[in-house]
Amino acid sequence: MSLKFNRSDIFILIASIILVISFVIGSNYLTGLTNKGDLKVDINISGRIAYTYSLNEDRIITLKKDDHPSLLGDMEIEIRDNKVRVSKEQSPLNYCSKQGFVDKVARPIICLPNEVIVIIRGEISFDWVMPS
Amino acid sequence: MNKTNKLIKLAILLSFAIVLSYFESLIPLPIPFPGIRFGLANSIGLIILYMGSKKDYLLFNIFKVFIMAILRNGFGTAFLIGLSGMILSVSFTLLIYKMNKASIFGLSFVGAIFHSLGQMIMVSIIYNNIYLVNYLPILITFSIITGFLTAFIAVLVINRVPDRLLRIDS
Repeated sequence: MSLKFNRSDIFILIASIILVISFVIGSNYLTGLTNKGDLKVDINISGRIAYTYSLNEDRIITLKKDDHPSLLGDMEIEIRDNKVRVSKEQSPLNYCSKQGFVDKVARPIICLPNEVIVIIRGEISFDWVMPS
Repeated sequence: MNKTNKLIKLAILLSFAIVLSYFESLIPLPIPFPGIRFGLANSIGLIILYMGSKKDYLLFNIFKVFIMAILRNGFGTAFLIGLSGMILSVSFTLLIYKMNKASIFGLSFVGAIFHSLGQMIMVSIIYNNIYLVNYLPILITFSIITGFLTAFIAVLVINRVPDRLLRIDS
């Protein structure tokens, strides 16, 4: 092993970047494969799945502050046209309501101040790794 | 005599690496992305790989992960993330080392990039969401910079410190 930068370093650098990028693209492709069939919306509160709804039925879910102590205020989650969004919430920066509608598997809506994660799940879930 | 010499040198280098990785955790980087470190301990790893053998490098990395876990956060999430990063990084670095083509810079790039990859794989397993691997392009951009820097530092040390002080004979 030499101490001088040479041409094979550049080859190795490019090869490893290609490997990592193809891993990213491949895992996104695999996630996209689960993006069909009967999709479910999981609502995680304080690290546990509190509710699960079907993405096909339009509804508005209201989470009350009295029932869930981690919420900063009442929260409203809307499922419409196979998409889900957080429509009303109390938080300092309102990131999760600004994010708007999500219709793809595994793209989470995260509201950290309220400890709420809304996530769409396909038929094949990634839960086999470590059940929460 | 030779064996004691080697043991002491490896122990001193290991303690250097642990102090370096502790110090760099105290320095905040002016970058708006979490999870990015210099990885100065990898300079020591590269010096060991240059001066010693593959086995020394492997043992150095294994001991570093376990000792850092004992000294800092225990065997929790951070340990698992560091362990998987270490396993991927060390196996790919030794693979490239065996080909005997790349310089110390190439080995450092491979180590840094695959350390990020291993960490993100473990993060997506722990948080149960494969979507997190989309953070990798940002991480490997910084891995290339820090990989170059750690190799540069290792070359500086190898050139300036007298050979007999660093040479690890087996």
